[in-house]
Amino acid sequence: MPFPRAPRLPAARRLAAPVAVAALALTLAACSTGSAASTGGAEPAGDPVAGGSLTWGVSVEPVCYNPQRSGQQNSYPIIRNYAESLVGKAADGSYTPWLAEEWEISDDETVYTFTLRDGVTFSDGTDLTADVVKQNYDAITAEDSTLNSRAAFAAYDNAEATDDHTLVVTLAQPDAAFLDSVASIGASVLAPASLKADGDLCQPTDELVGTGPFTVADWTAGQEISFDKRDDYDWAPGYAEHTGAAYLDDVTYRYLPEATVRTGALTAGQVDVIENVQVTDTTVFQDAPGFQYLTGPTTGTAFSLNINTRIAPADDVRVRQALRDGFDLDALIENQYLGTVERAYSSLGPDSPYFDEDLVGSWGNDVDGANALLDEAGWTDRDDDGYRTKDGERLTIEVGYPEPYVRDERDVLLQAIKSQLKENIGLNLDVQIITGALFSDQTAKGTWTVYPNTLPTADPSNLFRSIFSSEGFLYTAAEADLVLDDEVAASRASLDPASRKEALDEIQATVVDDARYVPLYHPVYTVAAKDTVHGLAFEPQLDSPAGSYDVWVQP
Amino acid sequence: MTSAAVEVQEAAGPGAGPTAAPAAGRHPVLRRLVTRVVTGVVVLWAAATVAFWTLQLVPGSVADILAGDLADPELRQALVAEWGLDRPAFAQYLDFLGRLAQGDLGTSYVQRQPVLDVIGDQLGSTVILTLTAGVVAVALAVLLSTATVGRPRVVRGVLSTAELVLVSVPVFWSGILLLMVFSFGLGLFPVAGGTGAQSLVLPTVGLALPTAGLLSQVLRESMERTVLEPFAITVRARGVRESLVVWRHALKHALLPGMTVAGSLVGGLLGGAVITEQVFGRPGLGQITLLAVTNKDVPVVLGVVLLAAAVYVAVSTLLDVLYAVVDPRLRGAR
Repeated sequence: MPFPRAPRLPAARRLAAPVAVAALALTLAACSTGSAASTGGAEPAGDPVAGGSLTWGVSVEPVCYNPQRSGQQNSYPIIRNYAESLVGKAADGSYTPWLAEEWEISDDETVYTFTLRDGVTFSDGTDLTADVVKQNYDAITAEDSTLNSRAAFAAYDNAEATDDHTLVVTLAQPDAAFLDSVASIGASVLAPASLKADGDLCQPTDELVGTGPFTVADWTAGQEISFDKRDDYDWAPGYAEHTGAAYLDDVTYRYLPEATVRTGALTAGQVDVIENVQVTDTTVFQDAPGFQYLTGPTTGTAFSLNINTRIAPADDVRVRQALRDGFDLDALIENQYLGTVERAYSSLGPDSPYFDEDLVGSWGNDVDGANALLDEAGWTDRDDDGYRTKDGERLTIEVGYPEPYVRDERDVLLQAIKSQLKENIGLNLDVQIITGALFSDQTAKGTWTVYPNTLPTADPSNLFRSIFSSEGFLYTAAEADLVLDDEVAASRASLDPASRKEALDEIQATVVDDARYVPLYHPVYTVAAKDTVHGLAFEPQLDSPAGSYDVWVQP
Repeated sequence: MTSAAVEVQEAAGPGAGPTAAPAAGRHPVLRRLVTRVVTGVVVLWAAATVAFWTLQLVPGSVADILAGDLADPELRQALVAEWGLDRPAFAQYLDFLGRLAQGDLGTSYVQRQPVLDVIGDQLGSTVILTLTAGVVAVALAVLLSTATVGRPRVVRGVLSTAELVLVSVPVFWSGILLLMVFSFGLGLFPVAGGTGAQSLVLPTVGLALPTAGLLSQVLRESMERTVLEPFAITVRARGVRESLVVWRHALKHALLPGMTVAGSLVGGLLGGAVITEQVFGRPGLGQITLLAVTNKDVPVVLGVVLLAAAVYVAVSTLLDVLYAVVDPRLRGAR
């Protein structure tokens, strides 16, 4: 094989070690997480400069470019360049004007009156009117709608356009998560022509028309998509850093599924920004001259173990608590992620205003306590391999981790936990990597065992509805003793932050106390870039990188 | 021609295959063609059927997979209704065959495009990659094998080991190594992009190497035997240069086993292209196939299976024709 002397460029030398490790491990995982601190070798930037081009190396091509249909977090940074929502969500969790300049909420919290901005046009030249927004929302919530955004509009009853600029949305019942849904990318407003088009608009053709600061210039499936800026754009969201047209003349997103290849492409200067930086490559960019390294906020759910409490021996709360406390989570996370992520105490991320800080330090790494619980539960015998047994049966809890969701070497973390649990308390955590199809079969039948997962950012009421209520995917309505339907309903019944927090705290505490849910760590979205790139940010509604509107390049 | 006598002589030797008797039918060519087409259709139908029922056996319902974690029951119901997923599997199978008969491969559950478009958009890129890789592999194999046949044992041993390494190295790994050296390090080639000849170089090399290694070994083995056969000695006795012996005679005899192996390597090239495309961020069937299988996107998986089966049928038919061209003993069957 032609393999001449080692490359001489310093960037390549820095790259060589992690690349070789990754290549040897034949790791196919496309995603990775990174540091909890945002750092950069960037000099003070000076004033933004308009003009220039930028190329992103991104890990995944959107399966579907239609914002209302896509459920894929990696697609959002790309889609946000051409699709916009009525309301923006700022980094502090507050809502800002966007396509709507203001809104009023009725006292009973069921009627939302949005006033649209003047002069907003779609990229095909048509005007944004209240009626167009109504058509969009009606399409999302239609009886036969298969649009992904439908779930977030559960409380939506109807909308009326009282004039061109006024949209009155009526909810069937109060929903504290509704404004969040309106701000979501799934509720992006598409042009009338798009709504009339045949098909599902999954491809970024001329038919997929939004109001965003960029329009699609060129697209090669599986390779890249490029955008040109709209010179007449003047309705940036309230949280943006500037107003008017975007700085960049054009921006390209190149699809590079291999993490190693993304790292190499950035170090070699073939792209300007990459996302999903591999943990082992963090040091290549963090505090490195010429580069910057950014991590997003964490407001989604932690990477956690959902334990199926219907299946013995996990139906015994003492066994679950022993599992929860039988290993040193801090040490494992530090060892594996080298301080790039934070150990979790609750399901919500610490950047969420609804994070229950009372849980911090309240559980974990109590081996003696765990052993006492197992003794009490009757798992007192030991077999030849050192595992606890009861009535001749080994203390085994199965974990079915769907292969498509394995990333960030989370399977390695589970193996480390398995090894400590065996050593410390004689529990056999049987970690199995299963197919996504087998998992969806198990959820349909309720026979899933322990499901390790994380959910992307959304309003906590929506997140908890998915995991802990009977409308979610893990439990059924029949299991009244397992689900937290009342608490989830309470958390969205009112806009009052104090009463919401009370309900959400109760959910977080309940599931950790009875150990049906063991949070492990808070994953973060990572971005690395040349230090000449400025204005990179994360969209708070998603925790993922924002579109390229505020981005500019130092000449 | 001097070699004519030699060929006749060899044909009469112990290695001679069954030379078919002149065809009995009145239109042998037509009959052969009809047989070929019918066989091809049967192969396609069998492949589609096996794939369809295998996908049915895979656990997990399509609707659950499409709806995803965050979906609510209403969305799931709407999806079931939209795709007719509540109908019996056999009815879905008949539907599928019916559409297939009209040349309609259906619509992708995930990408929501006609499967023909989904595959058609990406096919060109994969075809170009596999064709160039195939050509490079054959050229490389012929060069390597002819350059070393009849050389001292040590030389052959070293090269054979090198070839074995090429065959064993996963294209994923060699692809990343090529990128590290020639793209990130030396900056000679771009990392990604399906446009331009430059972006084709590294993926082509990465994909061609294992195929070349295997093919070269087969060719050399065969030529090693041939150059020791009596007819080769006869040729040499007439004063023909050794290089001519190899190029004109030994290589020709090695072509038959070489072609057989090359035919089966087409599958390897296609499979390798899937991974190569992933590493190099190239458009092509790779991403589509990966996505379709993980999402249980039945129409697309079936489309890809049918395509692979069609390629197999085409390659084996082509090989049949080429055998007759290369080997005069088989021409009687015309």
